[in-house]
Amino acid sequence: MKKIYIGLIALLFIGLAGCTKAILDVNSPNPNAASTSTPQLTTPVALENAARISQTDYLPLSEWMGFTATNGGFALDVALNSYQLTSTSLNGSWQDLYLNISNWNYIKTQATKSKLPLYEAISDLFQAYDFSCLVDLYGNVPYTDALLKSNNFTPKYDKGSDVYDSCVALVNDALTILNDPATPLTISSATDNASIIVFKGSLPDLTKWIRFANSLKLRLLLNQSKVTSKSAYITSELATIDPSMLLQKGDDVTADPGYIGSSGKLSPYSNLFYSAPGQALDAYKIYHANNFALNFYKSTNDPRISFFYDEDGSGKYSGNDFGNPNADNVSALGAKSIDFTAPSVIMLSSEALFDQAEAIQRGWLVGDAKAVYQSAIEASFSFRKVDNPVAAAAAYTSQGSANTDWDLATDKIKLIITQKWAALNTTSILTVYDDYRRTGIPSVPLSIFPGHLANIPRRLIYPQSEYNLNATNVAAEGTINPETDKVFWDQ
Amino acid sequence: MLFALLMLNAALVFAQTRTITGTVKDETNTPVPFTTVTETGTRNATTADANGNFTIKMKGSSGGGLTFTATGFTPLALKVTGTEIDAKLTRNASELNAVVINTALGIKRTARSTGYSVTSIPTTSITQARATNLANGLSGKVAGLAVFTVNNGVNPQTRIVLRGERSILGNNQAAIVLDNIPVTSDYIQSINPDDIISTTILKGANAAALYGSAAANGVILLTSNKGKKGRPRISLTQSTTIENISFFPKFQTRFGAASTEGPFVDPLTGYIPHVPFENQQYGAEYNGAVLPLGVPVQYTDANGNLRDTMQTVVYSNKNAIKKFFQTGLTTQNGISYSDGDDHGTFYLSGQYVSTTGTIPKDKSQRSVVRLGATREYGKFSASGSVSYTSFNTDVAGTDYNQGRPAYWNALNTPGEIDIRQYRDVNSLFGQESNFYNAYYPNPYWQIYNSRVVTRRQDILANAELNFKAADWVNLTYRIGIAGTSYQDKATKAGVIFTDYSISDPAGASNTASGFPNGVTPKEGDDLSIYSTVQSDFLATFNKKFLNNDIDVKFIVGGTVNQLSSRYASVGGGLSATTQLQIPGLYNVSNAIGVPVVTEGKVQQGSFGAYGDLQLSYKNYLFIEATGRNDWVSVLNPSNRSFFYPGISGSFVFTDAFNSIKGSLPWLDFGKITASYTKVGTVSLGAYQLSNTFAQTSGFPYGSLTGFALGTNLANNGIKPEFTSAYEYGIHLTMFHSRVNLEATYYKEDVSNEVVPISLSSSTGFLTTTQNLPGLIHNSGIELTGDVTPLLNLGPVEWSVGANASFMQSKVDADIAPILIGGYGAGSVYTVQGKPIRELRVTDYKRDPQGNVIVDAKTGYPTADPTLKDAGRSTPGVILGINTSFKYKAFALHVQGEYRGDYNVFQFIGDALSFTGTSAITAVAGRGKFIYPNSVISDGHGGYQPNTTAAIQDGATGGGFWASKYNTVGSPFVASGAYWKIREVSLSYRIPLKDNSPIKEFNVSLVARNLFTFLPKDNPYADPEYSIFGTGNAQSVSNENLSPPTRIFGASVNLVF
Repeated sequence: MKKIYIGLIALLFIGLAGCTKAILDVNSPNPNAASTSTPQLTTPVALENAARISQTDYLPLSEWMGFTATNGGFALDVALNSYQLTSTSLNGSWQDLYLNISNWNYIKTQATKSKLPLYEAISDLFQAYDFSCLVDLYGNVPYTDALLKSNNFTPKYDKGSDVYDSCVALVNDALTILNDPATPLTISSATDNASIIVFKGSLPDLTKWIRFANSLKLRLLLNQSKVTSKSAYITSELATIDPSMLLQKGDDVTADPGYIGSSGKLSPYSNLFYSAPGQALDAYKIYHANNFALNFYKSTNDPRISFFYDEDGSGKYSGNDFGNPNADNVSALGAKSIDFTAPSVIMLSSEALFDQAEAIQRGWLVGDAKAVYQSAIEASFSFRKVDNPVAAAAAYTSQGSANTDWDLATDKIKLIITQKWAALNTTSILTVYDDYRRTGIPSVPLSIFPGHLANIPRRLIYPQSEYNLNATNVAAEGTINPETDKVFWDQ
Repeated sequence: MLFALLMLNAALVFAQTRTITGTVKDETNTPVPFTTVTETGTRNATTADANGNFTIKMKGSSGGGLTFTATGFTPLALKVTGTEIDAKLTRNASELNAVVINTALGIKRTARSTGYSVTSIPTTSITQARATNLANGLSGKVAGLAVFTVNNGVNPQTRIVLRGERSILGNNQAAIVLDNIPVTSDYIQSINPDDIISTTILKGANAAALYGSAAANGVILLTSNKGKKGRPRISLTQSTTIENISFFPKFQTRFGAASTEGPFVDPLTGYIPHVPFENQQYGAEYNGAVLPLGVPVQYTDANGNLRDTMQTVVYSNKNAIKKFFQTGLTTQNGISYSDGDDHGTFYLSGQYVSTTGTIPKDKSQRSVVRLGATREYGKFSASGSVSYTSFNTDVAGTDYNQGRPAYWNALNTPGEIDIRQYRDVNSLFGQESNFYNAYYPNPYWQIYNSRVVTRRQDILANAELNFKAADWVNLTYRIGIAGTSYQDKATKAGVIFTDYSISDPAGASNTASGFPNGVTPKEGDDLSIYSTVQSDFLATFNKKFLNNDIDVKFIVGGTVNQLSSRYASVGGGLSATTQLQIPGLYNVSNAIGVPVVTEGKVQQGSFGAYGDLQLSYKNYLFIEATGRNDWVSVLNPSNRSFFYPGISGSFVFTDAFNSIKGSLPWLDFGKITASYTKVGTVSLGAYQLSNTFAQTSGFPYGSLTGFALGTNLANNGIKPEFTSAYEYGIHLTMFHSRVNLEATYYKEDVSNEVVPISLSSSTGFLTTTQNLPGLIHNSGIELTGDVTPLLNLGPVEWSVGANASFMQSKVDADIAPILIGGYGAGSVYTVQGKPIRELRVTDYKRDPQGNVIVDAKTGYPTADPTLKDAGRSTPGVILGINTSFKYKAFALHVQGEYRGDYNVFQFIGDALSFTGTSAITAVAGRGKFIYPNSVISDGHGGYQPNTTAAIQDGATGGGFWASKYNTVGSPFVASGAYWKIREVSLSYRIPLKDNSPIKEFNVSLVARNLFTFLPKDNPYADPEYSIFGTGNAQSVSNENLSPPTRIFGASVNLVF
């Protein structure tokens, strides 16, 4: 009898043990999310995100740069309006940029493994693009230890200048790949044209990618225009740029995944102001016209004014002074600029052309500065949907104003940077902020908010997450005073 | 009619009587005080005095007798012949032996034999104040147990923690085991407390080790009623309670509407003039003047003419916010039927609970039906139960503009406005187009137009079969299934603004001007199902040796647990992002554009094998050794198997040494215990071992997909956590069981904790998972005492009970602070060298003495980005005190609870400061003032007291109260200490005639959280609330939680 019981017990245990494998082997693969990806699947979202960051994260800087001002009736953002930055001011871009770089890093690894050189090159270019934005905003940032290199969870900070040099080197790497005759042979029209949502055509256009690489490199060098200690380096790098292989009019570097006017699928810049078509967010009511830009466009009879701003209730363009808490009936941002399906801007051809004009004017490149300048204005007019842009641009630059006409301007650099500022409203705020710090142009007025600091900040404070999570390394950068501490190229 | 009948019964009780007197003594002729003397077979009873003397009026015939019962003595029945009688009671040495408690896996043990802390709570104690959630009935009653009611409302969530927090980011809630089947923590709200006949708290790993992974946090072991042998018992229970706000944050009552950056500061008054459409309350002082309110409103009169009208308001405080909340009502109706004979028992019950909330139109309903039964046949016995719960809630959602809660929109109502006049959201001034407030919606809009409806259904079923294979062998198999289905739907109506309001007549950038095309209706849905199936097989072998001096029990068993869940969400679930075309049709088929859809499933399996050897020597020395090995599916195969042992002992020294009884006659019982246990836990979810890629940023766009690398860095080398726990205890019973004392010391070391930690985003990831390179130390002392004072209060019986827990915790690991949850200005962290939960907040810059440094020109303090420690955020001390008085048929119970030694982050202070609602914003009379105890730079690196630099805009608040004061977290750190009168119940047992068909008839008045006492530095809210629900980040609150409530009412119970 006892044996029967013991046998029964043993049987039950054997039965249980038998099912253990079926019970335990249930957690692989993950049924809820992909565990692997490919360069073709990750590149679209990485490109879109790079563009999304430039379109959305720098919006508050548009107040400092004279484009927008807080509308009456809303509690002003004191940090923004008084220039008193904290570790939580304006710095979502830190995380956004590093996460974007992390995707590019993955793409690079996979592309190298899968022998997809075009994706390697694009990864290099956008790592350079993203890292340079980080330096522009924060100065010294983690680079060599970043992205888990040597498995480091608390990366040390590298000198901004060194990071910039690395960015230029990344662009050079990309150019080597793009110029390699073997690269075109690896491109498949079926998958690559869908995945690479910049410069869309029937096939990825390597020429345009080479032009973008060169223009990006020129931007990185121009940003260092005041760093005299690097002039030899700059000269040597300039020597590798073929002026004919810079972005030309119409070569706008924009990401177009196919935005539609549906909640969650809006073009990111429009999504700052609307949750869906017709569903305005508070930002639409907060960010209104700034008198500084409005007066400039008015005084220069600029047809782009109707792109950037809407008329107020009384049919006029009226603005507000930055920092003024009391303003009624201020023009809202232009309905045309808030386009739910517009591609997201990474670098406009007008920006690249203004850079060329500046480089030529500085004697850094050979060419006709005036013609390139004219071309830049035409590119901008065209992008801002001005009717008959070439004719309108011609009229604009021959109206007899030193603010528009090449020949009348005594300070050509000032003219170029001012017009670049006027052209890059809404889409390239960080570039404008870079130029302002590099050249002091345009001389945007200070906030009139009571108790504001004496100067527009020259950089941002590192985000609170770094003080919390990478405390030792961020502490080594000392206490940041945004009023006086500057990034390396801002001297 | 029924009541009249009962009164008649009551009247008949007082029949003819004869008086008997006597004395009650023990074997040594010592009087036994306070013995209950009952006329045998009746309810007629009295209590002896402190000297054992008693007098009773017998009403039965002369053949009757008396029964004497006293704690610690064997009951004695005597025939009464004359009018005097003396009773000699025998001390009941075996009573304490007989106390049997449930322990892990349903193993019944004598209380004396457990080598660790186990506490049973009587069901009457849990249900006495008619808490609808069983967890609320436990609060304050057991040392080491903390029940947090994290919100109020119609479905208050509870978090139950035993011996404090131990897992940094894993689960810390006690496991709930009902009829030996583990259920999820939130299942406790689906239980009808009246169905539970036994509640045992296994406080720590030591008691619960055999449960495996769940054991580390302790276990609440519940047993449902399955009926009782005897005559049928039918019970009807009805209770009705009302709920109202017990306290609000401290509001300012002096100043009305104006924004912080109003048109100008009136040089005469120093205040910003009244702004009639403003939400912020930074205006002039109330003066009783009649002022315009809102903007002129257009309407069409009876003759079809367009006319203008405008509201006015008397500029005086009308407590707008307080008037928004109303009184809630809860009714509970329950029935049960219990029956049983020699072969089996049967129990059937049903309960319906209906609640309306303090926010208008919030409501919930819970229905529970339970069937339990047992049956015996020869060597077989079987038991099982099935229960079904349906729990529905319907509450106000967020508004259409900023997605804010109703409380926030109420807070944005200046005090001069009687908010209730806008209850009709379709009225001329109540509709959104014409609502006076230019920036925030009518809070009643969301009451009527934004709803969140949830439906939850739970099914729990279990079956157990026992086979007594031999005298010494018992085999048990049981299987339990717990299934939950949950669905919610959030719906938000659209809003069409009039062209007039879109034109923004006040030029205020009003809400309407942002929606020239109106607001589209929206909806979102969540659906999920969840189930666990657990089966256990246990074989128990029991033999006695050496003249029964040695009792050996060996249990070997195995457990298989399988969990599976599925979920799907449409349109962002409760955030309701699906835009709809046709108003009122809240269905995804009505969507504009492409709705966002997510889905997922989780499967987990585990297998455990365990053994338990119990040795008893002469029933006073007990040794138990346990061991368990677990295999879990969620870990890498190389890490998935792990073993852990435990040993415990109990020594009843009063039985071991007879000399004690002689020298310490007052000591009835004494035992000491010691135990060491290790428990393995896996607090990692499924599928965490590899990185993931997801479609983000709006992808897919048409046919274009895009998969971004997830922000969590997976770690596939995660190992199980281990808790090593030591526990030492002493239990003494004295003075004929009138004094009962228990003291326990425990110490836990938790190693290998699985911590999802935040990473610097420069790593390319935001989080990863690690085994903690260090330990969490927890230790504590738990004291419990129950005393029936030896005071002669005549017929009044008085007893007092108290328990205290003192909990220490320390993080001994070289780690960066780990964010548990919170806001930029203040969060709960786990910080090296601190208790496991530590508040950290931003603060103003301070000099070395801790004085706030202000700008010598503006008088403003400056924010310091470095987070500063602001004290532990979980209670270090919990005290529970209960007392009861019984007088004849009346009984009064009062339960109080204290928690202290911790801080909370009341982030609602930020909202109150922004709106200008809180008392603090008026502390300087809205005039300019010098920041208290501030210093200014002396220009040489030092600081000097500030006597000159005044904050100029204290009046407008724009610079200070509304956007400076609240940019750091330190002003909103408050002591979390409180005293609460948790429960008060006054019951009356209506006397009934013996042959009445009604066997029991009780009426009671009940109250919960009747009073709350807070320290002065917490003017905001209940420290027990948490914005993160029952998650690990406790002690952080904001305006998403409405104000605390008190509950009181009456209850009737009838038993046939």
